[in-house]
Amino acid sequence: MVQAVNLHAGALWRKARLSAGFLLLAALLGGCAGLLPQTYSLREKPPPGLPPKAELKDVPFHAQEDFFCGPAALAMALNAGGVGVTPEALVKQVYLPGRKGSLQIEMLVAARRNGMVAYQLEPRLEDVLREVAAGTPVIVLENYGFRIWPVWHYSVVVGYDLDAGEIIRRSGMNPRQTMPFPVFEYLWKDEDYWAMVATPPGRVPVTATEARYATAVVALEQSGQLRRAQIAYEAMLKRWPTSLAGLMGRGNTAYALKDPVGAESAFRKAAQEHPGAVAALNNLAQILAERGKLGEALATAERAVSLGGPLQPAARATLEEIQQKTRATAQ
Amino acid sequence: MKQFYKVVSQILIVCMVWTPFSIQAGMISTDQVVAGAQDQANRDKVINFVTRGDVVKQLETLGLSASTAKERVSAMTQDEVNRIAGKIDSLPAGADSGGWIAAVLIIGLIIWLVWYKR
Repeated sequence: MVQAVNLHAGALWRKARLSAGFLLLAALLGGCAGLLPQTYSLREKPPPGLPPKAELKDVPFHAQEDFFCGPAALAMALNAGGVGVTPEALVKQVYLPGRKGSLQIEMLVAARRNGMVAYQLEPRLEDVLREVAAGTPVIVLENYGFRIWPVWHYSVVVGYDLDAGEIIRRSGMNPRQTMPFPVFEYLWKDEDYWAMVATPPGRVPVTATEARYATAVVALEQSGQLRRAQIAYEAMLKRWPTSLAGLMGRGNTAYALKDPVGAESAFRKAAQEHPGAVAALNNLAQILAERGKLGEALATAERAVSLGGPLQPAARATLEEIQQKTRATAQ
Repeated sequence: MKQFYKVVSQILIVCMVWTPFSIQAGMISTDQVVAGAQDQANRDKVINFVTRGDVVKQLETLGLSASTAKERVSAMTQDEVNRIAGKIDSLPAGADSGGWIAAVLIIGLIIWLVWYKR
């Protein structure tokens, strides 16, 4: 009886070892795709419509001194977009002496301070390549150390060659460094594949999504660069003609730039396209009231209030003001 | 205690959600439109709401002059301020790559040879 149990246990043990072996083998085989998933899918399924190779030879190069790869990388991207700024001038905007480096957020902020739309890409190799193919250099953040002991570095992707399996970057002292895709992905993956572009307001990055791009343009508007933000909203509306953010941005920048006619037509279009948007109705009511069209303003504000939602208090305040104005003119 | 924290955060969330939309007649900003369209998860982050002054101070301790720090923080959106506040010491700071390139390239080359070229 005892022996039988032992036999049984032995069989179980062998079975367990076998399954473990299979699991290990599967893990090793699957590990390749798991370790560098983006390179894997690039090789297995080349993205449709992506040119097999591209290189932006006109992107200028700034050799990096010591810890200044942030300012150097940003200067290259900004120069490529038509902003004539030097890395030295950018040191004051992004370099952090206590960290001997530059933070990602400050890279985005500085691009914006120089009049560009700072857009963080989705964490996809394909998107980086698509931007490059469309003529926009991409700043990436790489880790030359380990996760627990990182050595962060910015470089600028300016080209690639799918057949050779290489990506082309401006990095450090090297104006044209080619690197196999797997190596690049290995360096690039640690900070969730961080990548950004700095594009002139009139040009929307090819991989941009409406929501993400709207956030980037709103930040430009908030920084007070109203005319540039206005150009960016126009560009947005060319890509997404009925975008609520685009139409509201067009109206709000027009209003801030003292163009009530432009503001009214933008808010009117916004309210037409998005009849359920409290903000659109509220702002349309406000501009109508300011332009003396009180009857229509009143009806629009009432509609805005009737929709409810988190913006309702603001809409109610607008409505009350218009009601007061109406009473005042009636007297 | 947990219950207490829960109640406090709920109150905070409500306050924070309403503060930017303080009841005022007039134009609703594009920022509010975009914020409203985004997921509610962002609202939770608002609990970590910090003042710009805190971030200015943190940047000063890392070697920036008061005026430069102020200038840099004032160019940030509130969301950006929230995201770096208190983490400036630990967030990645892209810098030098020095002699590390060689070591990593060798590792990378092996990966490449073994796997990509098959």
